Amino acid sequence: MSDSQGLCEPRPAPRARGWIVVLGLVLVVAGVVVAHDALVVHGVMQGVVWLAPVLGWLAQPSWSAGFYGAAVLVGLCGVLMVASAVAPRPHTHFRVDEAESVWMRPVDVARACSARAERQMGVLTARTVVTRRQVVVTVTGDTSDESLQGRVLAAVGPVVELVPTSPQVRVRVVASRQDV
Amino acid sequence: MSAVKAFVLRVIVGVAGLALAAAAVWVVALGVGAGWAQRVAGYADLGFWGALPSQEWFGGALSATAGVLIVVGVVLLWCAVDRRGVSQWQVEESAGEVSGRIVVRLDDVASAVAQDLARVPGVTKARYAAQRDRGDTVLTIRLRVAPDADIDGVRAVCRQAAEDIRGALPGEEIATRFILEINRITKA
Repeated sequence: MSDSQGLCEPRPAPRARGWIVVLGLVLVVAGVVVAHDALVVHGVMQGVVWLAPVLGWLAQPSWSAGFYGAAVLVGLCGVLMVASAVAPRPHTHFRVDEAESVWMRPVDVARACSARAERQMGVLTARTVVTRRQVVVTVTGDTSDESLQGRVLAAVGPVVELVPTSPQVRVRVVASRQDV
Repeated sequence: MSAVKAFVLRVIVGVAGLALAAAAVWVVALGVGAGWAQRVAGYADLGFWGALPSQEWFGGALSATAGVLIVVGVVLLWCAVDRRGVSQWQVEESAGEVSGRIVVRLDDVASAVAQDLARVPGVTKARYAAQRDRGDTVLTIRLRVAPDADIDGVRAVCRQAAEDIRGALPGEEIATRFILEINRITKA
């Protein structure tokens, strides 16, 4: 199989694909503009040649402040395009099974953690943020309950263990608004 | 998207990006009167462009340019569309001296697996797709799973399903991929 882990990691299309869509649309629109001018020049359509001012400007270029801004924007687009051309496909999923190709997104790990945290006695709400390095579970509940943090930690532990990057787990207990 | 197509798209975007960046630098340098930019402008023969509309062949050149631009643009858009579906898979079979070819509908295999998985406790929905992904044929099963479901249990069922698929298609280069999507937590 193609990926390094041999299990066909689900990865989105390269970022360059978005630019290809933009390039394609720009070329089609430019083609329509040029086709319009061709029809006008051949006398099929009435009107003015839209490209004439552009060609006239090219022959005797003149500069304004806005023009420099546009050039900088175009240059920035070019740099972004080069960067996206060489950027690898992003990693969007964690592999959560050693034997088979089973995958979860960070947001799914977070939802599973939050659901387990919310089942603990004394927890009103739970919110989880998952990255490759750490998992932060924020629960609202009784801040004077010293065992609450440990119970939440134990509850989310089995889910966090699925993440292959072994992230650090932090549990924050905050008081609910009613208690403040 | 195949690896070859992705590579070609990357090259096109990279070259176009370099061209745009270079053009932007040149235009700014020309505006501030840089010597090298003036020399490049001399090579580009800017006066030629102003005289274009008066040429006899201007209409023909416009027609050809329009055709090329539209065709290249449509081809690029067509390339960007990811057509990855695989519907059939041919399996070579032989029994004694008789050999033959069996056509397997991968969608049917994936559908059967997905239906089985949808019955697993905690799994609320199962979707499937048979796709080409970076040169491999992959059966992808997406499972919507309840937030408090037994994930270890679901993983075990996925392992069994992968075994079953390999058993149904022995020796075939078809990968299986299971994606677990946890449902949003809903407040009662």
